[in-house]
Amino acid sequence: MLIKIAWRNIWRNRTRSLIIIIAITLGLWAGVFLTGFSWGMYDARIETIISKESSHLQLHHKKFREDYMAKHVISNLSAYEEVLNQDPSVKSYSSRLVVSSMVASSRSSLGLRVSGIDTKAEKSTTQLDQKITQGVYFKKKGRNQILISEKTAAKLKLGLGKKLVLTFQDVEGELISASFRIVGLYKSGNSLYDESNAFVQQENLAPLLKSNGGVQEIAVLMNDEREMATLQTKLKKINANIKVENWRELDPLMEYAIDSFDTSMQVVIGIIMIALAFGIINTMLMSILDRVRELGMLMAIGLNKTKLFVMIMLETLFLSFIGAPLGMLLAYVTILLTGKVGIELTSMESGMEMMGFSSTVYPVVLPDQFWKIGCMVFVVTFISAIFPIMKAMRLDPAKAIRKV
Amino acid sequence: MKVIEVQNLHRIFEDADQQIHAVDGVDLVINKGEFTAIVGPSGSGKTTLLNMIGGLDSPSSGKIFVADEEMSKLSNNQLIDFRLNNIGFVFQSYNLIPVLTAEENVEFTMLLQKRSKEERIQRTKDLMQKIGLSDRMKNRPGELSGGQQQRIAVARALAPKPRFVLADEPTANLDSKSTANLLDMMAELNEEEGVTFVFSTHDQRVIDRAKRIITLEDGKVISDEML
Repeated sequence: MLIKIAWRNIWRNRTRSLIIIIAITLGLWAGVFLTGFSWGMYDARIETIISKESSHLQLHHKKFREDYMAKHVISNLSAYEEVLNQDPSVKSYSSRLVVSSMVASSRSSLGLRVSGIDTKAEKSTTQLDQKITQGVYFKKKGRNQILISEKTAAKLKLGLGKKLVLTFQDVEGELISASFRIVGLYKSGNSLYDESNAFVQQENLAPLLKSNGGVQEIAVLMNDEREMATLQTKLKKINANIKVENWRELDPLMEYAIDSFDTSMQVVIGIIMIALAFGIINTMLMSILDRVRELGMLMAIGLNKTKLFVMIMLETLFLSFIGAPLGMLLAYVTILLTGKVGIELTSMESGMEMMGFSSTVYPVVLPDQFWKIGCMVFVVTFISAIFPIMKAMRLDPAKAIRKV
Repeated sequence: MKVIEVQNLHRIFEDADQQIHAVDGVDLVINKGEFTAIVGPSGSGKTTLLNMIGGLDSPSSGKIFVADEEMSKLSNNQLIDFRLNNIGFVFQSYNLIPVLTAEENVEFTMLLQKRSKEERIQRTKDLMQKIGLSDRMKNRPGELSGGQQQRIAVARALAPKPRFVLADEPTANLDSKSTANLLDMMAELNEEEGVTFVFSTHDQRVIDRAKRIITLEDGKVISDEML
């Protein structure tokens, strides 16, 4: 009977009940959609980092990332190649010569990280060829070809076919200068990456660097990220002087952003829940104040405080039982739809590119977020109902019945 | 047989800088089968006395016995149970739960008593027949007249088989025809079933039907007439 009374009571004032149901629906939708949207951004960025920038793992001499001196090489390359060639979890890998170079044109100069790449291996590891916007991904014939970004080209005021001069230190610390011809311009979608990197063919850089078969960097792309830790451990055992780092360790800022994602989302959702709580408290207080005489009568004829608590709590929970599933359904549908077509944030494109994020966001469904936020809604509803219920339980039946 | 006994009952309300003796030394006994009206002007203490007898208010001093149970010794929770099982209430208004049908309203107190489904159904049917509203069982209070609502309130008050029914100004919002119908029904229940009714009332029509009239003034019983 209490269930019947509670259910019917919420429809006594349809408008008020519908408003709070809509508030719960929208609150839940907002929380879940925002989480899906935000994670969609991060998800895409992580995918880009792994597939187009740093790959899953990178190997360097343990001192290389301290000063980026070319003398810090991975000399026993073949030992690593043997392991990587035989491991089924490895999709592809790319060995690189890496120098910090001054790049100069007749009009300007700037510092760049120049990578001497194996063009075939680099294609399958970072899809560098797909980033080319002008020119070609290295011609079959011709020495000292270089790929630079559109941004770098603009800064140097150079275009396709023009020459630039690289100046860097070889492995012996000698200053070397060489001219390279621009055969292609690329755009990765990450401004910082574009402003920092240029690519030449390994066979052209190796004699200038005098690296004698050693490389400064090996990038490894895997079939399954879940195997990453295992491979990392395996590679670390080969040579203690060689550091093996995963993409999180290579980009601590991104790692921090991902680790704090949950915390920041919880703050946002917490704010939504607080707003929801106030809405519920307000609605239920109004509902109780409207029924003071009726509640007094019920207590007079024998409804004890426990049953009164249960009756009013059921009313509040029923509102959640309607609003929460609607909110979840709405969130699921909108994430599914926007996840397919994407949400264009063209007005923020340049800012997002600076941080390496795409301006098109594809929200993702995070099943555990649905249940987490759904549970939070129920808990918030339960807690919010307590204050109005306490007000009802403190009513004096004799005074309540006579209330005008 | 005594149903209600009140001994030297006092109820004092503190109001700013003065004390109000709403009930000032009342002694009375009400026996089974009585049809008693407690009358008096506004502020005479009728409602306060009724509230204390019904366990809705506590006396400042004195004792109230309902069927030999001293009510002041009961805790709040015990009082609620006691009211449910021993006392029926009919109020001036807001007697019924608006979202329940007439039938469900009558059944409600029996549900609180945890009576069986068969007993609830049968007793509801019997009571609705007694009050002449068998054809309105599925109607909600909003679909019934004031008089019909009060008759259902009486049925609801009688459903848990209380020792007596307290009715606080039950006819105050009714027209004369509805009042007459209600009083006829209550008088019939009193005569045929021996239901004890105690009214608090201004209504002369109720006073005219009462078998005993207790008059209060300034919280004291100034007359107690058996008619």
